[in-house]
Amino acid sequence: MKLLTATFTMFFLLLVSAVHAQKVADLYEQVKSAYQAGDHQKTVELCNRIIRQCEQSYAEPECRYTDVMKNVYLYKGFSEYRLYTENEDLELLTEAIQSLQQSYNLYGDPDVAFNFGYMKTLHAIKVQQGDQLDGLVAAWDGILGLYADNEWKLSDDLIKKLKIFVKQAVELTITPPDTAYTTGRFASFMVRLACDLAEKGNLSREDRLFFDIYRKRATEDNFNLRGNEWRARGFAAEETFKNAPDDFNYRTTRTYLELALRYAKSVERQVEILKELTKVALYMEQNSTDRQSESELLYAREKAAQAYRLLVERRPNISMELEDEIKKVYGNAIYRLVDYYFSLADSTDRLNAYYKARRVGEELLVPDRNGGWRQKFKWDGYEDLYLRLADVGYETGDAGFAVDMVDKAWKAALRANRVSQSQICSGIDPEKAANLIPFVDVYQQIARRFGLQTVLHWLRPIRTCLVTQANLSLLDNQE
Amino acid sequence: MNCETQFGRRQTKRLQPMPGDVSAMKIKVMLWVSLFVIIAAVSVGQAQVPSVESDLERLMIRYEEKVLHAYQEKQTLVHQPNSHLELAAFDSIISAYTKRVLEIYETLNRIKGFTLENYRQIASRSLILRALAYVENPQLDPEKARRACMDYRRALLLTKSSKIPIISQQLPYEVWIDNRLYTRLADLIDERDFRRVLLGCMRTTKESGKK
Repeated sequence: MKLLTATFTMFFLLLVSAVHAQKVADLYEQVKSAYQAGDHQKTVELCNRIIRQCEQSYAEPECRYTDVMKNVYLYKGFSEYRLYTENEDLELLTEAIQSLQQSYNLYGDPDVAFNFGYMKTLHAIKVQQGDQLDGLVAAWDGILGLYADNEWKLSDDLIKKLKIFVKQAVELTITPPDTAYTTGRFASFMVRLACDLAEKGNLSREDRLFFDIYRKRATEDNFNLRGNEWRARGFAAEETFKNAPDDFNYRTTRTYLELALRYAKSVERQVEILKELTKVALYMEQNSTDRQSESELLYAREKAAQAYRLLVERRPNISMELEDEIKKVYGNAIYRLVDYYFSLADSTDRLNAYYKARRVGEELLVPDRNGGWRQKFKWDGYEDLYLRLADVGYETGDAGFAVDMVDKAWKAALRANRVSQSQICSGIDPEKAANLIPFVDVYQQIARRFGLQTVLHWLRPIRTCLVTQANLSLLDNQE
Repeated sequence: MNCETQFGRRQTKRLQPMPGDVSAMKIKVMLWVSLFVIIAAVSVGQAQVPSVESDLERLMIRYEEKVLHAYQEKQTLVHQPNSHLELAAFDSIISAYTKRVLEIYETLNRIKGFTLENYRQIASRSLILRALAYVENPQLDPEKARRACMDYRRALLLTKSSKIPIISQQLPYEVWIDNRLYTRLADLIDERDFRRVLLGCMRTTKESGKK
């Protein structure tokens, strides 16, 4: 009786399983329809069923057909990738990579190699493992295969793939942003290879520009793809920041430029980035509503000082324009900080503010031959710093310093306006005259305070001439 | 006049071909045309075969250049710490291009049934560069050493018939490493195969041959 029951149960179970188990061929048809309908979850489930069924000891013949099984893994992989893009679940991405690799092992389609290479690199970027380079290698192998398949001609699709490849190589190089896991040399080489290949095709203007730009980034600064990419991102962020100078854009720009500085290989690149950081901080201080003036100015001074130090000590091979710009931002940073502390004298400890301003200003001063002080270098606007320091000398009662500074300010102003002292009363440009008046005023003020009668005697006719010249233009304008 | 008419009639008669003559003429024309077509096709075919070969040869040279380019680029990393993953990636790229050089070599061999010395030299140089790339790695695993030996032996075998061994031949390009110029593969092997792996693998072959 027992034997009969057992036999009946087994027969029943076999019948049930036979009813439930569908043929692989039918399942494969369903997979195709589900994939074409965009039902990715169902595609994955059906593919898994096929794979499970094929793993059984008495597998159906379709399980041995390469064309069927490579497609099963392909549909599964692509569907898993689609599901990953919806859920951002990295396990799905790993599954997708494995499925495509299986498909590639069955049938070496270079397109599949490119796709799983792409996914591997994407995975590496997502998990912040910038040293996982095998994705790039697989994708490049795929590209070479596709190129050969296409009779060594570049199709639009291949150009698109090359662009994707380049973007991924760059992204992988700067992953993670703060810690370089690789030297970046391999990624730079791969970008150059991709650009070499792309150049063999008929590229559109935009595509040509794309590859030119990335070739430059992969080559400049001793093949410093990482540093160059941060620099490019920094400059792009700077543009955005200038249009909308808020805290977020400022932080973003500073972060990118600081990363560019960290990874810069040459002194030339370092001084350039330091100059840019100074400019950004000064712009923030001047234009933003959420600025913290003192910290921005201190930051600007620090970066500019570093740039100047490199300029003097390492003598980088840079253009005269860049050198002038570095000097200008350094001078400006000092001037603005002096001005900031000077303006604080109204609200805080007066003398301390003046001394602070003077100490900052002295950073740019070196002794001259006449027992006074001069600025280390001439920069566009250096007369204003002398004038402000003269004010400081006036307020602190340091006659020698004040007179020395104001005299240098006056001479610098004449030089900046390209005017000779002897010319003033014989007629100069009214605009220049107007520019010079504040300098004479401060000079006279200081001379009066410290009882320098002869100086006053010398300045009086000069001021009269300047005022006359400036007023003449005013009258002309009124007429 | 009559005569003329007669003549004319006769002429007309001669000009009117018999139905059998028409078919014979057609056959003749068709034969000539088909002969012409066959000759043209053969000549075009003959013209295309060298074109495929020269295309493949050009590609082979280009890929050999890429092998060299990747090999030279890799040298910048050999002495850098923590660059083993990048070195391995470079090896993969060198291998990918070498694989393609060998693939073209095999195809050329299939097309002609034999290969020119030039093709053998290109394949051989690529194999030696790949072998060198394997053995130069600071961390040499036995698998890479085995592969390097295989490549090296195959390279020497390919150019066995050369009057001058491939490694002693003047290279058709310059190899610059650490500001040093190499013009022969032998110099490169002497300098870059620090552990004498390639030398060792030839010794093993001889010993195993004796046994």
